[in-house]
Amino acid sequence: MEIGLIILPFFGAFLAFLFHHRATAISLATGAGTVVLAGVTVAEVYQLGHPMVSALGGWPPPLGIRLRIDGLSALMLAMTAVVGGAVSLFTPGYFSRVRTNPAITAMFWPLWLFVWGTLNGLFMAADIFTLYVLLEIIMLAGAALVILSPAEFAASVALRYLLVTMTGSILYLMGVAILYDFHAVLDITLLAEAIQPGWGPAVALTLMTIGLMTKAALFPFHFWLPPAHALAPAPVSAILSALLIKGAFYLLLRLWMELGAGSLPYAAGQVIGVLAMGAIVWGSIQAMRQDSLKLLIAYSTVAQVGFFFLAFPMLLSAEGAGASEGWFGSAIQVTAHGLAKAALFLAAGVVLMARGQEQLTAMRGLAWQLPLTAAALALAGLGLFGPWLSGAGLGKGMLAESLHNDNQWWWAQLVTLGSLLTAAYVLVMLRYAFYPPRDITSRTVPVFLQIIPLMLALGSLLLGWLEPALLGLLNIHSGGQS
Amino acid sequence: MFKFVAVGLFSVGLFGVLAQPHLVRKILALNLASVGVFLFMISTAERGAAPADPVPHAMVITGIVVSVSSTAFALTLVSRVYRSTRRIHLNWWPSRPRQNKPGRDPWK
Repeated sequence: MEIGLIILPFFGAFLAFLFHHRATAISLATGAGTVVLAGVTVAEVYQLGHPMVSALGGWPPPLGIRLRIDGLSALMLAMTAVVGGAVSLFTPGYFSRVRTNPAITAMFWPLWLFVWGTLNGLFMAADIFTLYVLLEIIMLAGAALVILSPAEFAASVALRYLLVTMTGSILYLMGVAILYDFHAVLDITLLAEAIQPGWGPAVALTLMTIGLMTKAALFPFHFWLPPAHALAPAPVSAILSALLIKGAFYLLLRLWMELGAGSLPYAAGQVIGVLAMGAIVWGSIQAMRQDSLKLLIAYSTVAQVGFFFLAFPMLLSAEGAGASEGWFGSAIQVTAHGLAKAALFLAAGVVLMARGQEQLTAMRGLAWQLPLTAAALALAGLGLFGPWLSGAGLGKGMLAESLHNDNQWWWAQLVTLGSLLTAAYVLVMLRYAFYPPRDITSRTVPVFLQIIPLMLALGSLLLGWLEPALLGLLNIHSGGQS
Repeated sequence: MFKFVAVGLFSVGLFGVLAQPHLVRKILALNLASVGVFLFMISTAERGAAPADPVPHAMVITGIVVSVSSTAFALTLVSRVYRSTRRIHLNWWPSRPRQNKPGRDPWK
């Protein structure tokens, strides 16, 4: 069943590539099937109460490859399905209004389905080399999605992204090679049992961490992200920002959770904490300085990535107190951010459809002329800030609480500071929307296209209400302590 | 012995990616680094007197396929960059996406 989550999108991608005149219909059908499969799989894991493990083709490890779905994987699969479904519904309308070149649409669908299938695989695979291959597919498809942009310098931006992530992949692969040299297994669970503290695993994990940090765009490796995410067409930006970087982040979290505690020194977590601080402060300040809507949203991704990484100082703490709660908070925040960021980029797409430009000044009068989109932008901004009972609020609260319990109060202060900075750039983003709409020509945008970002933003805000279900799901992990 | 050579190649490649501004050289350096990784992997197949471990071979073959395809894609992008900018290197800091002039439809 769960293998269908990988095979179905891939199969759909091939069909959409072959029959490119019918690409939209094929892809929407595939997307619907994938969403249903993801829902069934997540429900199954939730019912099961323990991680779902299956060996592909009946081959057991070390030779075979296993898929393992625990609570974290299931949550990421669910987020990918929701965001992916919304983006797929939004895209046909967007391309028919903004672009006239059908070749772009024809290329978008296979690439996006490849990304979707690969992400699903990434969240399920339990084999560090398979994960490398999946990361490479994501990288190639992601760079190819960036060059769908009509801008002249899209190739430069895509190439920069490609070079950075290729370097990251090679660092990761070297880590895989060293780990294999020391322990002769590739399955993460088996590695976690076999791993011994020593310089070899420490070097390997350091290389893998640096490699994945470049892919997840943690400060100071974020420099490729804003131009790539701002330049791409709106649905592509939503995919890149809401989903693609989460793949690398998820993998890094997984590696540290399973392998980090035994083999990395405490200081490594503090270094990541400092980088996270840099990301939050630098990303937020840069976001405030932008005058293009999509660049502002892209810099906000840089800042939010910092929040996700705040769980890392706890994963290596000697006491281990509250460590699991810490990454729970991070995982919930990743989910809330995925929904909110997709909402922001899709709403930016609506602004572009209505006004033909993406400057912040183009949002003048938005609250009068496109109230649904203005509401979506405001609510998604709120979803990033994280008020009480919202998904991000729940995540940040758990993060701060467990940082306190873990005697790392200095990072907990950062959560508060970061939230204030988030509020600041969200207000900067919205400042023109409430100007009276004088002398503004605005094209109408169908309500359907405006509803999609609004629903995503509401989803991000209401995620906090699902707290018991989320915690129940996340408690399903290999350690099993709950 | 092989491992030292492999780590050397890997380091030279990484240094090249960071230090060389020329895009084709960057891609060559990345290839050098991945050759270093492959050499390292294949040298892990030797496990004393036991027959050689087949898993690293599988990994290296997969890795070569991935490396070839990403190199091809990167070279395509380089030629596109050259055609659009007449330059064969990137600015260190990405140029800001050009702001669209107000009132002008960028898609027409």
